[in-house]
Amino acid sequence: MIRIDMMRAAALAAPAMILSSTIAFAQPENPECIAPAQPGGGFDITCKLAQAALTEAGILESPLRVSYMPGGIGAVAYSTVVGQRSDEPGTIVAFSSGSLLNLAQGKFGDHDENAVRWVASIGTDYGAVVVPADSPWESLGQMMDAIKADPGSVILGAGGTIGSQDWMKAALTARAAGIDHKTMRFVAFEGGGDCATALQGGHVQACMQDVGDSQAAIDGGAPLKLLAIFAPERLSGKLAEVPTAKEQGFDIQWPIVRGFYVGPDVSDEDYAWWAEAFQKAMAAPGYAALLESRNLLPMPMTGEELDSFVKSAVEDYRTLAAEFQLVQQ
Amino acid sequence: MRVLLVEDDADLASWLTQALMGRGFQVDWAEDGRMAELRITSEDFDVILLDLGLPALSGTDLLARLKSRRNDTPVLVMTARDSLAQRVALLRDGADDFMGKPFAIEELEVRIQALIRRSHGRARGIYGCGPLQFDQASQRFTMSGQPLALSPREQAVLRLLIQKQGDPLSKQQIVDRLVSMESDLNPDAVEVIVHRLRKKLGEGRVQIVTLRGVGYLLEAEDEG
Amino acid sequence: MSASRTEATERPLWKTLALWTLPTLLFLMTASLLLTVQSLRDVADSAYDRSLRGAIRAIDLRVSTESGGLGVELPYPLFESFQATADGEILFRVSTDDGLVQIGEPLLPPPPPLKPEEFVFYDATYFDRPIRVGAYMRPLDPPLYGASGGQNLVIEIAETTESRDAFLHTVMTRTMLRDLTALIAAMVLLSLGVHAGLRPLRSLRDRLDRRASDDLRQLDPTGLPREVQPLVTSVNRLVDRHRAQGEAQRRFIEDASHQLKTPLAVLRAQIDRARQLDDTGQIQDVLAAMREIVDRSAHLTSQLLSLAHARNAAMWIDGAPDRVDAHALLDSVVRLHVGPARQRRILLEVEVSPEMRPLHVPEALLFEAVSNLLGNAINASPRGATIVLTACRGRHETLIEVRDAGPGLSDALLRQLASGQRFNLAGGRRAGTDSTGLGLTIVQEIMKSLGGRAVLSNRPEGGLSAVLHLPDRQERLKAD
Repeated sequence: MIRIDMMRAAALAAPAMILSSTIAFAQPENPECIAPAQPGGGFDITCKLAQAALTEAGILESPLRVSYMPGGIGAVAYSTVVGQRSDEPGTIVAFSSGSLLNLAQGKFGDHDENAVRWVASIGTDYGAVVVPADSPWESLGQMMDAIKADPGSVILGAGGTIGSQDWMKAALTARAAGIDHKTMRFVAFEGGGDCATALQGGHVQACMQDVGDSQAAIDGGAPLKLLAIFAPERLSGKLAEVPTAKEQGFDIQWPIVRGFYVGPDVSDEDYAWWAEAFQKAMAAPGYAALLESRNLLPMPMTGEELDSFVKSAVEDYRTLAAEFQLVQQ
Repeated sequence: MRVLLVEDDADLASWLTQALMGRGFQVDWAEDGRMAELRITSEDFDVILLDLGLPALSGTDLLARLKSRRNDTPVLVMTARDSLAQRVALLRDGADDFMGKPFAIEELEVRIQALIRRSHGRARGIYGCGPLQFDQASQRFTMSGQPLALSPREQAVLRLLIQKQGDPLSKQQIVDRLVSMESDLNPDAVEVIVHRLRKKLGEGRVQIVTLRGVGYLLEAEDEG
Repeated sequence: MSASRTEATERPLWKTLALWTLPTLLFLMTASLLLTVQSLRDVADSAYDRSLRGAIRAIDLRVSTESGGLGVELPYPLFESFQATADGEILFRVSTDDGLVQIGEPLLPPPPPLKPEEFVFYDATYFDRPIRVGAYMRPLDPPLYGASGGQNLVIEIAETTESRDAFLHTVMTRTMLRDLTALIAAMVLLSLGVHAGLRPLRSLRDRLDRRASDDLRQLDPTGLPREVQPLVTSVNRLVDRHRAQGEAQRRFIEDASHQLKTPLAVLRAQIDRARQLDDTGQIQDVLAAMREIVDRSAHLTSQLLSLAHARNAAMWIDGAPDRVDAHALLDSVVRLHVGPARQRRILLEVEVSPEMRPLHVPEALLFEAVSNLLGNAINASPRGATIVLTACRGRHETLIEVRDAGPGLSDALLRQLASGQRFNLAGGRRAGTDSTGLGLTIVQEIMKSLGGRAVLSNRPEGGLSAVLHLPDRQERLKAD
């Protein structure tokens, strides 16, 4: 009898063991994804995407909790994780290319790109210009003309202050239009969500955002429209109606990689667990649909691959920042 | 007695010359100041009759030049200018006497003689006042020929008075003029000296007259 | 007349008044305007600042650090309620002082150094628009991300102040216009008033202009403003003096020419007579008589010249007279007359009181007056008499007296002199009276020009007392 029980137990345990043998260690407790912004923005979408992907792929038993820690477009979260929560195995923090841009400018306090462990990237987004649905501007060119005519009258919103990626989008566009970027007037928000709200309230006339969060808002019923997308060519699906900036005469592309990092003191095993987890999740069949529904494109990188990508991206951004005289430290 | 008449008006000069010559004076005539100066420097005169307001060299200028050359010839100034201020100024400038035009010829003669007498006396060093005489050379006083005994101080005061006849001398003026020889002389001391002098002069013809508030004056009764 | 002098500095009275009042009024106006604007601005500022303070507090409440980060509830709804009461645009910025967090308008000008828990308000410019900013800093406790140092939250709220500035501008413009209008009105009224007040003066001026040059009638002061009456009175007095003087001069010239021509006529007659004669003795008699006439005329001429000189000198007496020592003056006068006096054994004495002060008069004139008196006294005194000259102080005047022991003057002459009448030359023609009289006239002339007078009286013990009264300088100036 005992032998039968043990065999049964062993049989029962086999799949678990098989499963668990594919994942070296147990999943961390209290998995949490920190979106370092206000709800509704790109980071929010990133975390929720991870939440969905990991759950659908069956990797996580309990769903990933999403929490918000706005401040400096990730600066506060970065510093908090590095300083106070550096070894939490269950905590991942969303990042984007914008974070890397800020890192390149030294805006994340004393920390540089080597302070955390870059885990995975799950997709890529593109920058976009969003205006109210009833805006008089039909094209990026019209908007630029309006700014040229009266710089103070057009208020741009950005999910970040001067030097952030949203601001950079505006600066690049202005430069292409022949406007001195220093004369642009814009308001900084903590993330695309706040900006969209302000846009709807009429407090700003345009938002420099990402396709992901803007389209999500539009899909949610917000009376907004996309004026231009900073992609090399038109996107597919319903986004195909939106012209690219390049089409409109502004040869600017701004891809936004979205991903996650963990604290520097997280153990190698936990780090490897997360990397594998994402790898699996992104390989799962339903993942593409998840991406599409969020208007994102695939960009699956994990571990070492992501790490070197991040390092080189930061270098590139450093150069760009220097062009705009943005480096502080 | 040689008189130099310096006068630019020919009529006046002519009549005056005749009148003076009639009185026994020897008169030379210079028409203007420059001529007068030339003649004075080359010849000796007993008295100069000077008219102010001459061409070429004004009378006052001539007076000044004479004084600067230390020429002792007494000068009697005649002028039609009558202002008192000018009169006083002329006497200060060195004129010895002053007559306003027109004048009586007798008056002129008397004044000329007085001037000559005084200057001769001065030249010889003899001063006289009536019977009183002072000989500068011997430093002695005589009254009607008799020597007068005087203390040194009395002698000094009396000498001053006789030298400055016709000009009242105040006590202070006497003190100032004698200060070199008498260091402790003061007006009260002078009063005492004059008192003693009066005693020595007695009731004679020579008197020291007090003009109160003005000064002392030595006078002889016959004169004037 | 000093007409030419007044014309050179002629300026309309209203211009003078304007020059006095206009700058002061303008200054007062500007000052009050500036004060008004300043106080209005302060009031407006305090109102602004109060509302900014409220907004800052409201935002402060919306800042949450629960998430471990820094989140700010969008303040736009708050601003909308603000906007309802405000006229401008509201801007905000929330940041941490280490620069990590920045939400809102990043291009707002940086605030001045802030102290924790302190509200600071200041004016600044944003995109060429004037704004009023309220800034507030408070420590974040606990600090974000475990930052080691103290971390502070900075909240800034700004409102554009165009409406405030427009309001102030309106107030300023209106006040300025109001004051300017009042000023102009005042000026106009002032000039009208002055013009009306001066009309009588203008008519007086016309009347004077139309006068003949030798018309010396008095001016008619009726209808003139009270302030000008004293001027007219003084002018009338001056006119009177001139008229009197002119008449006196005419009289004098007539008398003098008579006095001088008569002896010449006599001489002429005498010469003609002498030429008729053969007898030397008779001729000598005539010549002697002629000499007398000549002497008298010479003396008279000399005195007339003195008189003319005294009158002439009086006209040229001006500001800075000499300082005359009375004792020295009397002394010199005496010395001048010592010769003739001693010829007649007359004693001359001088007494000067110790309280004597220097006299501020032209020395030559006073000298001549005293000398004349002394000369008269010597002529009048008998042989061996004493003549005393004194100088002493009276009440605000100096007295110089010449006392002699002669016969004195006749009562008639004394009365004439006392009454101020000029000695009438056409009167007495005897030798003594003529020269004495003329001498006394000269003395009177001189004293008049010195602002004093000569008082002559017969002494009870016999003889004449001639006293010259010289008022002190201030009294003389007052009398002018």
